[in-house]
Order: sequence, then structure tokens, then C-alpha cells
Amino acid sequence: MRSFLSLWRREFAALFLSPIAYVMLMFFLLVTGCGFYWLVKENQELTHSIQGLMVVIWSCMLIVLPILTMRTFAEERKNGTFETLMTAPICDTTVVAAKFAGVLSFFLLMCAPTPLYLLIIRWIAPETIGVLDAGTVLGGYLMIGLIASTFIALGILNSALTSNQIIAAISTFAVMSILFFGGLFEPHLSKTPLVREVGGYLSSALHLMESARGVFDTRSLVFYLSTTFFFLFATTKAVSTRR
Amino acid sequence: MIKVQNLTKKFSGNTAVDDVSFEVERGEIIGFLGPNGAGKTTTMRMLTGFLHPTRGSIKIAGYDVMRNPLQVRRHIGYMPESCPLYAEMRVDEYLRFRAQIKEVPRRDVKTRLGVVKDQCGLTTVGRRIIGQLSKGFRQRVGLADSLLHDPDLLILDEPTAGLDPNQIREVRELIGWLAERHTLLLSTHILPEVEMACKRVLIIDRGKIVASDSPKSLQKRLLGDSLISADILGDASLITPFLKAVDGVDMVTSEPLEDGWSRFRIDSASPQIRTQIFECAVSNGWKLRELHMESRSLEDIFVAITRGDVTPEVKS
Repeated sequence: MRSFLSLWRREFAALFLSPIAYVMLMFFLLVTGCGFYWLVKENQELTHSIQGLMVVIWSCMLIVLPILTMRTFAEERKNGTFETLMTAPICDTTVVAAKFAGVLSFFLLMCAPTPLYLLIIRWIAPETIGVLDAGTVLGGYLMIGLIASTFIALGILNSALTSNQIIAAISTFAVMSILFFGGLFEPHLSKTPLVREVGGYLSSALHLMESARGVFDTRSLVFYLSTTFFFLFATTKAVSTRR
Repeated sequence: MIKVQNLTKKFSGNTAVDDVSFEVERGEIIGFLGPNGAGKTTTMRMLTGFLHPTRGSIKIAGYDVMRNPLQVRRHIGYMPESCPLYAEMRVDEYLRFRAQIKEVPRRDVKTRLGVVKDQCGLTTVGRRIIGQLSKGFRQRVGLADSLLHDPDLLILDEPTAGLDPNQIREVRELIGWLAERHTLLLSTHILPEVEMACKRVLIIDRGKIVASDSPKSLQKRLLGDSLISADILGDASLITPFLKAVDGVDMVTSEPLEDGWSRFRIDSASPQIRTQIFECAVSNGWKLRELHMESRSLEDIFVAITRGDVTPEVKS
């Protein structure tokens, strides 16, 4: 447990020491800020803005997560620190879990200021229609956390499979895009009902819209948790078979 | 301390380490030599559990590397080749992080950090960022890291690679000092280093152990006893027959020097032959300005073995 905490702390701190993380933070705040401004201007109903904000955060993930996860293992491999890390008395699972927790906590920290947008809008414009329902907001953020977990686990897996950070980032981006857009364009995807149905199941956009509306589907919960565990398990295997 | 049996490692059809067996006793200092690509680093990586062997078994401090990898790693301090470190961290921060993941008890972390920094001469650079340190200091940070959990066995892969002569001397002194307290396995290209520090050398070539003995007895076994060098004034062709006639001389070669002097190299089984050579010079009235025995270095042994000039019997 102590090794896990030390490793997690290092992963988390290492992100703050790399310029790319600051670029990502700035990009994220800029996009969500501008997006929210536009949403409020266009929508009279606050519930729509909440849904909209979730979608904006969701789209940012497509850029942010591949970039944040690409360095986890690829950089260690390239610099050779992988060797010192893997010859310390810690098991592979702890290393993978700590790297995952490090990136996830950084991403959650990145998202932390966004609920403030909702509070601020409520405060400066009390006349906006609709209620700020804690349930829908929490549901939305929980779903964001779940989606992020899956894609962070995927990013770490890709990073463990290569020593080239660019390849890791691009392959994560490619798989994420399929899951993102496949679901979003589900009606245009194919005429076969099966493909459309599968596309609908996998669509993180649809999951997110639903949960931000206040509907929390346990199927998506199971889907994200199981894929996260699967990717992390695969990462552990990838790390130990490359010995 | 280390027991390696029939260790083999293959990388996609290419055999890096081929059926290697050796043992290292507690407290021994072993120099691990071999040309580049001979399998030194691969063997060391397998000892630390970083690579898994294709075949064979490794036991360290009684634990099997494959079955109890964590126990084994608790007993090993390992410094990989080129000494990789997290360049963005500060020295203290890095060492504290390593102490934590190496399970140094919480209350001992501060004392251990103090001890290893003192041992490795890092007391003045604790606040410095690793990436800004010189190569010599980085090497010391790597060494300090390998010592943090006070391991029984230290495995150092080319600890002096890429250092300048002063830094090499410093690191060598440090290693000599460490050798008194730990079992030490170190690989290097700098042979005088091994000759000075190591009680035994293992020479590996093309994945096989080709020699395992003390530098002294390897020298004796492989290169004969002595090579005597003598500078004598006069024509080499006239002097050589006299030298050859001295009892016990096997072979004489000569090269002309400046001002009519010649240098003779005399091969003999006995180093005592120097007295007879001196007497021979005196009785013939030659002027002799130098007479000494050239010691054959580990370098000669290394070259002889790895080029295939001599084939020693492996004693393990």
C-alpha cells in the first residue's frame, strides 16, 4: 500500500513537472469555458446547458487523455527507468494501478473547476429557467469519471505496448474515436440493426446524455468498470510478458 | 549467494546467453567481463528478475528468482547500465521515493538517506535537480539508490561507463569501499578496475562463460609465467645467440632502440632468470640499463580468451 501511494504520488507530481500537462490544462479550461459560454447563450434551460457541458468535457477527453497517458510506460521504457522501477520489490499490478490512479486523479483535478460554472451561472443569473439538480450533475460527473477510467486504462495499455509516445497517443486516439463517433453517428453507421445496436451500446456520448438527464443505466456502469479492469489486466500482462 | 544453473536466454531465435552456470559465495567480489554483446547485461538483468530466462534457474540468497521475485529483489541492489534516473526530480526527493518503494521502514528512511548520501558523497547536492547534475554525480545517485535498502548483493552494470578519469577514480574508490561490506557483482570494460578490486573474474563470450578464476591464476594458467624485458647496448643479432644460450630461456625477440641500444624480450618459465641474464651481460661486458619483468595484465588475458587464442578450462 505504501509503495502504491509513493508511486501514485510520483506519477501525479511528474505530470505537474511536464509542460504538456499545463498545455492540456489550459486547453481543457479554455474549451470548457468557451463551450459553456456558448451553451448558456444559446439555451434558455439550464438542464440543456448541463448536458451540453458534459458533452464538451467528453469531447476534450479525446485530445487530453491520449496525451496524458502516452508517457506512463513509454517514457520509462525510453529513458531506461523502467528497469530500475521493475527491479524494485513491487509487483507489476501495483505499478499499473499507481500509474492509472495518477492519471485519473490528474484528470479529475482538471474537471474540478467545471461544476463551478453551474454555480456561477445560478448566482449571477437567478432568473434562468430550470433547477440545478444535484442528482443530474453528480450522475453526469460520475459517468465522466467512468468513461475517463476506461480510456485512461486503454491509454496506459497502449503506452505499455510501445516505447514511442507518439504511437501510444495515436493508437489510443484511434480506438477512442471509434467508440466516440461510432455511437454518435449510430443512425448513419449502417443499415444492419445489429451494428446499430452495438454502436448504441458502446456510445459514450449516449451514456453521458442519459446520465446527465438523470437516467443512470447500470449497463453502462458495468460496461465501463469491466473494460477498465480488462485494460488494466491486459497492461499488467503486457508489462510482465515483455520481461 | 548466487546460484545460476543452465541459464539460457533467447531473443527471437538469437541466443544471448547460452547454458551458463556459476556460483557466487557470500562476500565475494566478482568482475563480470566480456566484449560488447557477449551477454553480460542480459545475464545481470535475469539475475535481478527484470528479464525472464528461457531456460535454467537462478537462486539468490536461497530464493528462486522466478518463484519469489519480490523476495529476491529485496536482497539485491541493482544499478543498470547508463544509470537511468528521473531527471525532473531532486536528489533527496528521488532517493526518498526509491526508499519508499523499496520498503525501507518509515522511521528509517531519514537515517538511510543520510547514510547513503554520505557514502556516495551526495550531501551537498540533495536539493539539486538530477537532470542538471554531472554524469559522475548521477552515477553516484544511482549507486546511492542501489544501497538504500542495505542489500546483501550489489549488481552494478558498468558503473564507470562514460565517466572521465577523475570520476572513474572516485567511483572506483567507492566500489572498493563497498566491496568490504557487500557481495558484489560488477561488469566493466575497464580492466585495471577489476584487477584491483575483484577476487574472481567471470569472462563471458558469445553467451558462454569462458573463464572463471582469480586474475592472478588466470594469468598463470593462460599466459605462462614471465616476460622479461632487457635494454642492452649493442647489435641485437650478436647478442641474441648469447641470450638464447642462457639456461631456461624459451624465446628471445628484439627491437632496435635509439643510439645503438636494443630491447630484448625474453620468454621464460621462471622469473628468476633475471639474475642469469644480468650475469650473462656482465660476463660479456655489455652495458645493461634496464632489466625488468613485464606483468601481463588482465587485458592480455581478456584479449587472448575472447579472440580465441587460448581456450581455458572453465572451473566454476
